[in-house]
Amino acid sequence: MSRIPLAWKNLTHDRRKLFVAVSGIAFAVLLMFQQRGFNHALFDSTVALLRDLDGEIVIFNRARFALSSELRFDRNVLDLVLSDAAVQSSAPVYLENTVARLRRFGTRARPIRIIGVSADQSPLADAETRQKVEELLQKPNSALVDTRSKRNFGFNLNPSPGTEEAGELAGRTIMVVGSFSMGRDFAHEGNLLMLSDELARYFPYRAVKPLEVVDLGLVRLTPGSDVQAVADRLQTRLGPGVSVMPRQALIEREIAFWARSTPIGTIFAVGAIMGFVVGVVICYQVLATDIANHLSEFATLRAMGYRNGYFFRLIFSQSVFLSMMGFLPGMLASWMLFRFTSMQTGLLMMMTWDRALFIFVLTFLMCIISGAFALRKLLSADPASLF
Amino acid sequence: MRVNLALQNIRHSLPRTIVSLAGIGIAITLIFVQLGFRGAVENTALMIYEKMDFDLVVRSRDYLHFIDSGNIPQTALDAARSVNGVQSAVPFHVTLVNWRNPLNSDLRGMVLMGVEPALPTFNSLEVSRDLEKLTSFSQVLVDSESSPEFGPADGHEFSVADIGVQTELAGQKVRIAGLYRMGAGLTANGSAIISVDGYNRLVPWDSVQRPAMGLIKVEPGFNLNEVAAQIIQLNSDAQHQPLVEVLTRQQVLNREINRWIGETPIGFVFTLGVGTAFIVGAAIFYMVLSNDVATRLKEYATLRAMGYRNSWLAAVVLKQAIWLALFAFVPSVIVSIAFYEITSILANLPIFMTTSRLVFVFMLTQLMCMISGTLALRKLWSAEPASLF
Repeated sequence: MSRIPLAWKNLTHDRRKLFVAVSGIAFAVLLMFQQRGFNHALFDSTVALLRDLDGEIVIFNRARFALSSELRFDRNVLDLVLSDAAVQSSAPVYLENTVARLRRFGTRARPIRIIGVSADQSPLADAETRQKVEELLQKPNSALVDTRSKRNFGFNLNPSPGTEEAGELAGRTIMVVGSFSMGRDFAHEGNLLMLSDELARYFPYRAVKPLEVVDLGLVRLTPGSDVQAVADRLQTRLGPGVSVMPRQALIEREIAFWARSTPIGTIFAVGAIMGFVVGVVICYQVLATDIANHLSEFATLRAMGYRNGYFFRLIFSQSVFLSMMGFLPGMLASWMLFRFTSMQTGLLMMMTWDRALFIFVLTFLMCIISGAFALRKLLSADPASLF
Repeated sequence: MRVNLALQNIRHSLPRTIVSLAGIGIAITLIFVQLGFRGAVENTALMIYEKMDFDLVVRSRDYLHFIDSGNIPQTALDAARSVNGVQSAVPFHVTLVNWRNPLNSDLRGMVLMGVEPALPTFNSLEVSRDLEKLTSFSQVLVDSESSPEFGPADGHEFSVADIGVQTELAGQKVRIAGLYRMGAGLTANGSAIISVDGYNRLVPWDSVQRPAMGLIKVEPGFNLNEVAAQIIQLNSDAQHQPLVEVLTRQQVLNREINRWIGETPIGFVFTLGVGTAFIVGAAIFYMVLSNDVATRLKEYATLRAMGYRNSWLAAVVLKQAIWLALFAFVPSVIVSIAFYEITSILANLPIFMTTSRLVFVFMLTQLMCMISGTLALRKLWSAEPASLF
């Protein structure tokens, strides 16, 4: 006897009903993606700078509790670390945010984060950006603007090569000659990348010698070094004034800081749970209606001797089909929503495989749970009472 | 005898009704939750300004937000005082500085407000009751609502046990002399108040001659807009370009909300959250009601065949939709209020139910139910009695 794929037929025989069911699940998927996505975006964005730097180890002032707090350390620390055998090179990163104001002429000055790097010791991971920074050497008073900066700075954020736009930074003229991509976050509305020598000219009040105080030190190790061991060794050597951390560990610490000091994590966790519950409700509605509509058929099957196990497998397969059919359009819609949000806010909305997989597992669970509820209804169908 | 079919339908199969109510209830709760979060962002925006005492505020044209407010010249306040109708013009200083946690020496960013203790700056006794304790330039008041990260003695919130504790603010020694209760929302996790003299010592670059803003009280009977226009006129350059902006209380609050909702990523994210909640809510409503109609299709078709008019059947379905929405609304409100309470404790957010939100969601619910009910009716019109049996 050839088996009839009843689960599939049940779901698909009424196209319109199937469409409603699938879009219901897709909505729930969208809701979960959206809430998790916002959560990740707000945290991913705050560590974009650290992520885009090159070097296994980061050195910073011990008291610097978050990237945006301007606590600095002495530059010669970066020379000290060079004597360690595992250290290949070290490079300073200079940051300015509280006093950095950028304005297009005729508009309100807005705060922007200034990132200063040197061309010969560049800490930037991206080769193309490194190249662009080197070209800044040819043009005095020039900088690159982050394409994800807020639009109301008034600059063309995607300047074509060769175009220049003049603005005013900290009271002096600045030419925006190109762009790079990093991302906005809680604390910064945009980024401007320039050579550290230029940064010293715009912000002479950083210190008596502006480039002697460093915000972050990036240390590159010889291949094959044990990062944690080297970090511990450097920490002992440099003493308690600075912290030495593997870059990855600092990224996690930074995220933990924002997670703890803002209610963001709680809010989006609640949002995602709501999405899940909504999904269970929608999925249950779909399965329960299906059962209600075919109650007499099911009762007949039971009367014919089909076991409970058969119905269990039936409803289980229906839930699995539903979760798969709902997930794909839901993911597609979420991807579009991510693009839109990213464009509107400059936040990094990333859909990675592991995050998508996580949502898929949730979708699957959601359908199984509602399947289990729906099954109870089916098993209570008493053949005798139906006719 | 007339039978109220709508109510009978609801009562007839109670389990099914409960499932429908749960579906609609969750949709309503979802909407409340997202609106609550967005509301919390708005409340956050207003928290500090709402407790400040002013009819008009004079501030810089470079003002961006509360702790990045730019400066105005002190002389702008002197000019304001000369305007007819101005009762008082009080300087207000504010910036973000590092606070050293007295327990573990960690630094954290804190909002610091510099005020003249003897002049009226705040309208709430909860904020101003200890102001007179600021007698020396090294004394500060701390907000009890500040996050535990700032190091209160009991590890939970600043209290009388912290009075007399010495720590560092902006790298200088200060002593906690008193407390107030305000909350700074998302702006920062904590705040402190210091006298203008003390402020000048901690933040010398933001000198006394350049307050962040001026708080103006206007005598009763004067038109605020006229007074504001005169203050602006006195603070204009030779080309009649205003050097400061003067805003009424309502304008200040509106601008602050616009900034948080319209300009920060957080505001955008929550607005989008509200949008999705509406769409998902409407989808659930439709599914529940169309299911309900579908399961009773035979009965309705029979009634139609018996000669009942379409309008009568439509009225039954719509009435049923309205009843369902009503029954689901009450428990959803209770759940949402409980949820607001829990979130405000867990996340320390100003999140609470407002009457206008209740009314708005109620109307929205009724509207959604009626639309979904009408859509579900299409199924009924297509029900051909003959084909059903």
